[in-house]
Order: sequence, then structure tokens, then C-alpha cells
Amino acid sequence: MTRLPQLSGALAEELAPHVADVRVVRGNELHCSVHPAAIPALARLLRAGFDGELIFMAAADRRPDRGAFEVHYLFAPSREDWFLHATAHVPAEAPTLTSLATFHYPASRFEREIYDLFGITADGHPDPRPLVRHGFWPSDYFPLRKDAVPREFSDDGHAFPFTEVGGAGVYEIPVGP
Amino acid sequence: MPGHFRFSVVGETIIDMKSRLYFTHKGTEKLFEGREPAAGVELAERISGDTTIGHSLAFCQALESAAGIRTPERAAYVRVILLEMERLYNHVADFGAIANDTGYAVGHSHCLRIRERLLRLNKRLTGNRLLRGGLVPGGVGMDLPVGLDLPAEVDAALRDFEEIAGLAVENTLVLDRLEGTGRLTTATARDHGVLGYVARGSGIDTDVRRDHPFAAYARLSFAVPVYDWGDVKARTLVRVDEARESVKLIRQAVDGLPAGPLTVPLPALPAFAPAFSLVEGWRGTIVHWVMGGPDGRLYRVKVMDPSFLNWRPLSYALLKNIVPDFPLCNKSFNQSYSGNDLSRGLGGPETAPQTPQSPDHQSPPPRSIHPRHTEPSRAPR
Repeated sequence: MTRLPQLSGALAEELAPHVADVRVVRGNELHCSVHPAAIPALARLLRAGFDGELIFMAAADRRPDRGAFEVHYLFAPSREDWFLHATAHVPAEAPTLTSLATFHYPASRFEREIYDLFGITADGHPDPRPLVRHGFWPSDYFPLRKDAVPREFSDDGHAFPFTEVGGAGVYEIPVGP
Repeated sequence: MPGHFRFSVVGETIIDMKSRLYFTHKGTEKLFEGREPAAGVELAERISGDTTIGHSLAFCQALESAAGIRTPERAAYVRVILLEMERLYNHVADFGAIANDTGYAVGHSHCLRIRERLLRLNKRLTGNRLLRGGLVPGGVGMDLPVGLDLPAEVDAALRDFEEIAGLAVENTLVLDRLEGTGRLTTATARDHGVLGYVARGSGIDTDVRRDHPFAAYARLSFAVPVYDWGDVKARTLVRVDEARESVKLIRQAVDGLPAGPLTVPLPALPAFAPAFSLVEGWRGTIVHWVMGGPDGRLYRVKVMDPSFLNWRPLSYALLKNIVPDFPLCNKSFNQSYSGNDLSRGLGGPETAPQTPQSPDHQSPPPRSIHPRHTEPSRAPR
């Protein structure tokens, strides 16, 4: 893809050494590693110069073989057929990302999911409530960690209330479980 | 219905709706881990029962990308046919369900009849009404059956559907319920990164069949319908238009079907080298991301159904609508509970699923919440 050399150059020029190991894979994918703190800068560069937006995030627990978590960011433009696949290595102790939540709303959903399943915190997330966590999971249970052991769970009595809407004549209709 | 919806209402007008999902913890993503790559296909087929091909295609393509192979051309064309068959039967069913929620029950009945006709065609194609077994890593699970004139069959089903759809959208009582209802503005849709017919009904021109072509789509011609009204009518008409395009695609793919093998072998996955794939499923863009482990088995699989991004903006589409229009708005979105809730780890030993679940897991609409059906104890004062 014609834009990959330009993108590769921009990454080297503007984001080195926080973005490294830049290489073209399978023709139209540019892969790189990114420092967790440089993710917002990467997202801004893609949006401003390349019409690239975050479309997907995936975390993986690589502690068994490399002692760290990984969070992978997939960016794509709206009209051209190329991708940027950036991998952040997140230390096993106090794993933290820099949040993209206020930059791109879908990132806020992925980041909440990643916290719930891996215990990786998104620093600066304005709304880090549980998204996918089951209410009965203990606070230190992160099921997609490789060392997660399922155990007996029960209601810890911790409520997760709905926001109440008040005012004259307002009433609620609850539907479902 | 594994979803809780909490409406705040004044009179009949919805001023807020909060949805709480993720009640089902199937452990799908965890169940992929440690499997042989090919053994992940049956799991992918069951991520959302109405999206067998969408999810299994995304999974197979991600494996093929990781292993560095391309499917034979014949397989690429058959994959198009199967994905469009899935789009077709779901769009027909959704149209009927939308018609039903306007009170046009006869339209619904006919759409169910046409859906049944298409499911029987699916069975002739793959041996399974929901198209399971259609795909394998490296190709497809079967050739097109001898003696089946598939283009003629889907043409006939489409003419049947167009007659019903025409009657419905020319009916002023139906139109009155569709127009201006459940409006999702382009700005809100864009902010939420919505996908599929929800995006295309809100003026966002996106379709990965065209933008990031896979299978044989780059060799076929089709239009991407876009309406900028953002209402139930727009999301309905996108489906009607896409059903036509699906039939065109099926005809082109059958006519242009190249000779040759149906599969190539899938080599071992390289360790810790991630790969991904995008598919425009009937509901919208599906992403699968795979990473092999040192033993050649699946180390990590991440799945995104479009419902992950499309559920939330339903709350915005509902604002200022009346409660009786909720089922209609919800049907026009028709997001998947199963595809949304999937990923999650095991919920505990007593709930740890051992096998894939849910044979025919379409996302059902919430039960009617028209006030006259509301439980007396919950009746507003």
C-alpha cells in the first residue's frame, strides 16, 4: 500500500524511540511496538495525517514467556486498504495503559473490557466502571489471565446501581433480569 | 432475554434508557485457548448462532493470515456465496420482525416463510440450516451441490421478499411507524464507531467487503446502500437493498465460479505472531484476532462482534421516542446478546461451559413493554 512508507517515515520521525520495530507484514499491514505512554500520540498522528482510526483492541497475557502483558491496537483508514497494528508491552507489576477514552469513544469500551478480563488499568479513563465483569467475581479475579483459577463465587453484597433519573412525573420501567 | 433495560419515562416519552448486558458468561475466548487451530471453527460458528459464516470466516481468515496461506479461488467464491446466503436470510427475517412490531403481522408471517425457504436452501448447500460446517481453515467444507440452480432459487426468494417488502413500505400505517422513529444522528453514530446497517442507516458509508476486500469480493460488483435519515425506516431499507445486492453477488459468484481445489492445508501457526481478519457479516464488521502459542495451539483469540459497539447507541436512538416504539427501534438494531457477551472468562466452576451452547441463538427482542403489558406492581402512577 502506497501510504505505508509515508506512515513508517512519520512514525520514525515523530515518535521514535517510543515507536519501534516498524515493519511491513503481509503487504498491507504495518506492525510496530509502542510504549504504553505514547499511545495517544500515535492515535493523534494517525487521525491527523492518515485518516486512521482505532477499530479494535486485544490484550494477551504474555507473562509466562516474556514477563509482560501485551495490548494490541488495530488502526485502519476509512477508505484505503491498510492497517497499523501496534503492540504495547505492559509490565506485569501494576499494568497500566494511557487511556484513549476521551480521544475516541470506542477505545473506552475496549479499555473497560481489558481491565475486567486482564486487570490492566487505563490511566485517565473517565468512566472505568465494570463493563463485562460478572458482579460476583472477586476484585482480584481476571479470567483471561493465564493463571486465573475459577473458584466458588457468590454475591458480595456490593451494589452496582443504575443512575436514577428524577424530576416531576419521571418513572422507571425495568425490563429483563 | 439476557439483557436488562431500564427506561426513565415521562408520560410515554423515553428520556433515558440504560442497558445492562453481559449476563451470559460463555467463556468463549477462554475456550479457544489451547485448542488446535482447526478445532476453533466449531466454536466460532457458535459465537452468535445467526452469524455462523460471519464469525467462522473471520476466524478462518485470521488463521490463514497467521499461517501465510491463501485459499484457492474456488473456495473464495464459495465463501462469498455462503456469507451472502447468511445476510439474505437474516435481512429477510429482520424485515419481517420490524413489520411485526408495526402491527403488520402478515408481513412478518410471509418473511418467516421466505426465511424458511432460504434455510432449506442453506441445508442443501451445507447440510445445515444455519450453514454450519460450511468453512474450514484453508477453504470450504463442501462444493456447491450438483443440480441446484442457486441463482434461480435466490432470485425467486428475492422476488417473493420484494413483493412483501413493497406492500409493507407502501402501507401508510407501517410507514408512519418507521419514519422519524429511533433516530440515530450521523454525529452520534460516528462518535460510537457504529458498524453495519446501523452505520449505513445513519449516513456512514462503510463496508469492509469494499473497503478491505476479502474472499472474492474484489472481483465482484455490488453497491453499498447508505441512507442518512438515521431512523428505523433507514435501517429497514438498507436491509432491503442489501438483500438485492446479496442476490446479485450470489449470481455473480456462481456464474464466475472458478474450477480448482476447495482447500489448501493449513500450516502450523507461528508462535506469538498475531494476525487478524475483518469480515462484513450481515450485522456489520466482525474482527477476529489470533495468536498461536509455542505448541502450535491457539494461545489467544479475541473476537469482536459489531454488537460490541452497536448496543450502546441504541440508548441515544430511543431518546424522545415513546415507549411503544422501543420494540420497533430495538428490532431495527437487532444486536446480538450472544456475540456481545461472548468473550468473557469462566463465570465460576458451576457455570463453566464445557461445550459450545445455544443451537439457534438469535438475539430475541425484549418482551413487549407496552404499558398495558406491564406488570401491575410496576405500573406507573
